[in-house]
Amino acid sequence: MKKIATFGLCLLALNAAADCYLHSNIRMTRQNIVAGPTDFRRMATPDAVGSHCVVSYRVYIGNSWHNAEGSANAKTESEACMRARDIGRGYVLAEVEPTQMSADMQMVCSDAPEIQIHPVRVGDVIWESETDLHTMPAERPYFVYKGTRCRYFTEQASRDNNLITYQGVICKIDSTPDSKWSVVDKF
Amino acid sequence: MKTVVGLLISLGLLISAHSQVLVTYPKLSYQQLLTLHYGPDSCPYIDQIVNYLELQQMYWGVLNVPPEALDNKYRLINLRFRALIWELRVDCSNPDRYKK
Repeated sequence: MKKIATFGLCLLALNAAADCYLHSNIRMTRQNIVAGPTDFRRMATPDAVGSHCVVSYRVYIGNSWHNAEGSANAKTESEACMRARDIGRGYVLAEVEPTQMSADMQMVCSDAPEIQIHPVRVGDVIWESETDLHTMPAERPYFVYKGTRCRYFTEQASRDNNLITYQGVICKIDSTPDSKWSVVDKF
Repeated sequence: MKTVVGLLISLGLLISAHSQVLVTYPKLSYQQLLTLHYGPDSCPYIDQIVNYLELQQMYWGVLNVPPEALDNKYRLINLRFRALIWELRVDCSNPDRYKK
């Protein structure tokens, strides 16, 4: 019984381990962002002024998705969160090895599930940045299909020692900025 | 030539749709599949063309089959069909997408 309890506690501890990032001083500019910002998640708390809002989101810079974060204060929660979404207030979050940490580093940690690229299936509801952009830049822009915003994605997989690339289409579930996406086709 | 083939198929589909005649289409060969091409002039017939292509997918046994479950030959055939369908859907709904 003790063994089961200990094992359970270990599992809980593993699950509770937060993902931490270094709060970089890399300010974002529209020029170096290939796609996004997308997948907004916000956390608002009351403060002396009114509300403090931290918005985390994802941006595609170079050849991959990165976590980014912005924050702002305002009289109301909605205003604070709207300001926090402004790219000009955003910082890229850099992954850091625990051994490289020092006391003066500003860390950002979260227990929220980390968004990562992973294999998807038709019908899955996902964050946009759980799929990679199309390998061909000309196919990357969003398009409209049945009145919703969609885009192509590609997915790399290995089969019989060969690298194969699947393609597919994801579409936004609704028009709100916090909306998730649905995988509508994969081929 | 590719556009002509696409248009001929579109025309056949249009006639069959209007005449309410049950038409059975033969299965396309792989070579014929590679020559298929649809331009902006196909947009008025998009629904019929998508139905036609999905019927062909059914003939080939790849309709609604996850690509991971197909061997490489059939995965590429399915890819060609789906790419044609999405090219049509994207081009017809977003005519300015590729214009600079």
